[in-house]
Amino acid sequence: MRRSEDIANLPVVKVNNLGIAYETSAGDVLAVRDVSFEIFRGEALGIVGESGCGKSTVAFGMVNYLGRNGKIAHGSIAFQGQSLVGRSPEELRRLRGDQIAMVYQDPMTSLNPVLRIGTQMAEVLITHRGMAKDEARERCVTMLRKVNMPDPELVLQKYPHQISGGQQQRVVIAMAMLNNPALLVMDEPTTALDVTVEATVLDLVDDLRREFDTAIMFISHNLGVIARVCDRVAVMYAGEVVEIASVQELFANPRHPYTQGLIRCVPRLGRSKASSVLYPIPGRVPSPDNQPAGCTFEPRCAYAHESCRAKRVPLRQFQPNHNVRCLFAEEIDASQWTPTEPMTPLVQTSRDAEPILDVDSLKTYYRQASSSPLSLFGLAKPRYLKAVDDVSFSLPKGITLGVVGESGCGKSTLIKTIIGLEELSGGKIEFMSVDLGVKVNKRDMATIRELQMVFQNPNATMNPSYPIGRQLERPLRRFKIVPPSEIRAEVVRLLRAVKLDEHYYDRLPNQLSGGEKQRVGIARAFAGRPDLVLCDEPVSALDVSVQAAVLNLLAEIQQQQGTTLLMIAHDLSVVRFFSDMIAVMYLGQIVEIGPAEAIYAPPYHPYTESLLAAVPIPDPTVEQAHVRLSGNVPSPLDPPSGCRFHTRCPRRHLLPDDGTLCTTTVPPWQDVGDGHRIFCHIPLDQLRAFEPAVKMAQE
Amino acid sequence: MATAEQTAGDQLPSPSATRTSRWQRLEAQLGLFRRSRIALVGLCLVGFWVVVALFADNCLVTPSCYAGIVRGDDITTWATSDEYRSWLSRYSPVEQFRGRTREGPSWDHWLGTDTRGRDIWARLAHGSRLILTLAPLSVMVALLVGGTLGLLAGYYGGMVDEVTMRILDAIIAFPQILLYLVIIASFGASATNVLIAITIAGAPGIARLVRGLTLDIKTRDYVAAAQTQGEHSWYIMVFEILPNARGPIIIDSMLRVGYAVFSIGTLGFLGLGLPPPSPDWGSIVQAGRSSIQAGRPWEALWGSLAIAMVVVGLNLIADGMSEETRRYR
Amino acid sequence: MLVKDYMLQHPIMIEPHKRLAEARALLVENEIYYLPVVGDGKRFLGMITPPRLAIPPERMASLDVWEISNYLANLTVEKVMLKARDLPTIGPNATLEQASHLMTKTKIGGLAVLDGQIVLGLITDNHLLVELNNLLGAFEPGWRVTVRIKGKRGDLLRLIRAVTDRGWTIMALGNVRTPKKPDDWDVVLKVVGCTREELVDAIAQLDGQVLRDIRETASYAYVKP
Ligand SMILES: Nc1ncnc2c1ncn2[C@@H]1O[C@H](COP(=O)(O)OP(=O)(O)OP(=O)(O)O)[C@@H](O)[C@H]1O
Ligand code: SF4
Ligand code: SF4
Ligand SMILES: [Mg+2]
Repeated sequence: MRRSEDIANLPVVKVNNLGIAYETSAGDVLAVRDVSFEIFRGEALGIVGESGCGKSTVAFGMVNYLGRNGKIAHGSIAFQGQSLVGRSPEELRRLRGDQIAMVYQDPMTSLNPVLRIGTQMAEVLITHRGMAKDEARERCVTMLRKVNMPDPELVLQKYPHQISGGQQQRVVIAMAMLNNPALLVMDEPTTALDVTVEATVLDLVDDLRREFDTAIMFISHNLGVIARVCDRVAVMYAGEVVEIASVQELFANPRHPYTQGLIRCVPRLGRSKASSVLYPIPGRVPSPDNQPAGCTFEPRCAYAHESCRAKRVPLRQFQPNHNVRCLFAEEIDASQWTPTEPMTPLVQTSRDAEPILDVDSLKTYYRQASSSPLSLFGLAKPRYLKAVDDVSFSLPKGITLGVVGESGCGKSTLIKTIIGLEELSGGKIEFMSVDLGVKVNKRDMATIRELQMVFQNPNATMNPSYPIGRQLERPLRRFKIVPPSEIRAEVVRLLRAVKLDEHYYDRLPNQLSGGEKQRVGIARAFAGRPDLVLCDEPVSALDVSVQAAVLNLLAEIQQQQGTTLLMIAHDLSVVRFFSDMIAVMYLGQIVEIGPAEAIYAPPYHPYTESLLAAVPIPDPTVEQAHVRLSGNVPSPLDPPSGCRFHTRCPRRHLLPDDGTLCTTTVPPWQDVGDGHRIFCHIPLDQLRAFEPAVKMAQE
Repeated sequence: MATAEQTAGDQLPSPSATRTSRWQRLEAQLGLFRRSRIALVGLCLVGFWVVVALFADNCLVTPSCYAGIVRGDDITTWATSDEYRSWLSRYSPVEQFRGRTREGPSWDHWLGTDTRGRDIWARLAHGSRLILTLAPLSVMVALLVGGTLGLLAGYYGGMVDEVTMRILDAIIAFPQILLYLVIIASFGASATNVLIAITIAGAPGIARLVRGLTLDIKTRDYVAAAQTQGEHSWYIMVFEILPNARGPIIIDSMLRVGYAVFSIGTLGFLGLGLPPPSPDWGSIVQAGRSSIQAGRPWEALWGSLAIAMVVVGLNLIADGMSEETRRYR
Repeated sequence: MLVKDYMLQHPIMIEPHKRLAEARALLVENEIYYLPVVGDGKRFLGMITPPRLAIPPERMASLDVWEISNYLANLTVEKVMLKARDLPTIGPNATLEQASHLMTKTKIGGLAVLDGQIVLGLITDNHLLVELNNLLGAFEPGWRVTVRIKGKRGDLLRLIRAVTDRGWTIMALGNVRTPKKPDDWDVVLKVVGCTREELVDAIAQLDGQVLRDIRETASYAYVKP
């Protein structure tokens, strides 16, 4: 036992009753109200909440980066005992350089694309500390080593665009740490990264804060990420902190109905839609200029009571180190919760149905423009980027196939080829015994109608120029689903099916929220009553509570219409929850495919294992194997020989000779039974003997 | 029961964005002039000349007479016919007042008279009608040509793109004045030829803009969605892509109309505009040039001022618009 | 035990152009005694300690009441701080002993830990005392025994063996030459896993080693399994 309480441990930041307002044409709007918290040295405080809850506003408020129309309306921020409110811009600039650092979601906002990484990093030290060039460079190398960057010297020579997103984020973190800041504000630092990279960056954050005793304010919408790196968590809702407690306490004993709702609406890894239900939080976050008079959560709260409406609810102590902004925190127990409307898990679809889609050695190559001068005369040998290379699977009717894999592994390309947005370069796709070898504009109307797609980005899925109704009418007219006189009625029916009412008919897409747009996108895809719907990350851009609602909706419509779904998602919990079968892709190939429950327990492919070990799980008691992938996904322009995963495989050494076999020979497909196949040299028995990558505490 | 409240759980766009009727949408667009001061100033400058152009004579409803100006009808009819007078401009643009040449502003002749004793205000007023038709018209034609090319090049890419853009680049490489000179010199000075010249000079720039926008918009999911619904390429280009490119195109066109006014003025000044005696603003400045040394700068001054007002006005409106789009991004 | 691992990282610091009143507030409100003064890039310029807050008596005498308040209001940190060149500082890789030696020698109980001129942290006498506590296992429950042994080779080992061979655990160990008896050593052990009697008995069996003191810390009462 080590104690050092005798030395007064003072908070690095102490925020008291902070309110931040934005000036708008309609007057000042308080985006953040009555926020209080403190962060100590070496502590990570997580801030979690849906979009629009004011998380980033608080972060920017910390360094007074609120833009022209933002201002601190009330309250105080004390940094190292000194008030940050009312400092001169010059002083703030100095503070930001010396003692406070920020890391944003997109690393490129902090990197200058036209300077070499070495130059940018050294500049921090040279201009700020008057360090000599050589020394500065040496420091940069040391710091890059600390952030686990392979080949730091080489990286210094490169330009930001020449390294991957995960590496860029590491460079940004290294840069932030160069000045040894007392406070590091991280705003969704891993949201743009793959789970495998995210896991390494989170490990890094954890190490750094221990080594440098930095206070970290970690903002994320992802409860799993928060559970992994934070000591304490503040849950924000509509500009207020509604609950703040230690991570263990918050997840084990959430007291605010909103916190409970958030935890309920993310699928737990290992659950499926046949065994459990996601409960979305009804309603939506009120906009800052239109807050309820009483408890801000009252309109969405299942426990709301007359007294909740009367006046604002203060944050109060529920237990030492556990504060809640709810009048009934003592009575509200998450384990006693019952849904307002009973929802029943869906029935499992059988995997033995007729195949509806047969994909056989599908290849999709992109021709790369060559940089050689010969290409000007068309003489250079064309280079091909093998986005999808030799993929085969068949999809039984009525089931859901989930496709997972790191970004760039060809998931989207696979879908685009099937739907005919990209031309296939080899192999065969057969859909209900129709050959899908041509692009969509050469297919006949009947085929087009049976194959539809749901897109990822809610803001781009609908054409902003036309009202919703008109956009839903179009497929009905084109596919002649109903006689022209009934089109309007059918559109209304579709809207109802996705739980939107008739008013939405005349609305423009920009008058809808993200979740609503995504629903309309789903309605459009299902308008022609297709047999197969391809979904490219249908919920990844949505908030968790909306995500739950959209997933439920998809499942419901699928069940009603008996549609087959092929769904891409990067969130393994979502995929597991939603799919009957799962295919794991790596570098253009499927490396493992099988029934959903089989993929999540040994035997599995070493790559699947790494994915599972990396997935952030919103439960601090879960133990995960520490398997981390090193390096990047190699370029699909010239993929590694033998097993494509051999450059990063953490299990290769289990084979004789450290797995030289893997570097030379393409692995065999090993059949586990029940349609579960693994593409690896390691014998099945050995794969079976792996420790499970995720160990749940209970169950 | 499915009510809106029960459904999506995320933030509603602020209530001000929730408009439904067409009228409200129009009002929102005109609101630009309420919100942006510079746009309002621009609107006043341009609006002044639009009003003048509308009421320069009494035949608002009979376009024949102003076609007469374009065609260059017989001067005697112009000078005498009442058709060319209105409450706004009491004289015909070709009516000569002997002995009252090169006068300064007076009650009879608000802006003075020119070398031939014609009322400058009358000439400017009728000239505005000319220029405010010709400039937007030529930009419109340029838009049609350039927009189509840009849309095709951007949407299809590959060889189509390569070939069109190379050709258009070649045209852009020419200095514009030179281009005008070559075209007018070879086809002669007339309203149609001015229009053709401006179209040829303007289309490549528009094509580039539209191509850039198309390249961006065609990667949006709604375009892919249209493709997966088996829409024809032309439908996608015209109905899916074009409407979403309109913002920048409108702003660009504003600037281009201003530029066209300036170009028509320049051509007039060089004697390549509309044949005399049409009250072309450029020709007015040109004719007034000689009087400047004689200490009577009125004619040149008013002509230049008129051109400047329209050009600056359009630029200000364009600025206001682009500021507005930037604000809401 | 190196300074970099035991120092306080990110100490509260102040800039030289700040009013003295602000420095006073920082010292008082946070109950700290050493306030490093840093310029741009956390460059070490000096230190404010509570005595610096007082007005020198000779100045005091020459000023009347109004002047004093005026004088105080205009006083900046820069004017009263102890200058960096007059202050002892230490590097991050020095040992704790070096730090404590420097403190006792200079009679300044707070050292800025510098990397070049950049302040990395602060180490004070208080930190050293906390570590002394930790070193002797003050917060570990167990039997705290003091045994006087001869400074002969193998004596310490015998003592340790006597404890560990019986399956007990030593949680902390301190070893110092007995004051005024430079040939003897006083060994302080924190032992867990046995009863008081067993421990006393075990030490009694070692000849030449004297149990000077035994006490229980942090309410440790061993229950036989
Ligand atoms: N139009 C294109 N031209 C050239 N290369 C492309 C094109 N589209 C994708 N690629 C490349 O093909 C590979 C696979 O891309 P794809 O978009 O299918 O990956 P993904 O698995 O969907 O990734 P993410 O999870 O990021 O969406 C990548 O290397 C990508 O850079
Ligand atoms: S105060 Fe009332 S409305 Fe607000 S969260 Fe608690 S129970 Fe729900
Ligand atoms: S074949 Fe070899 S390199 Fe590939 S996954 Fe299996 S063990 Fe790893
Ligand atoms: Mg993708």
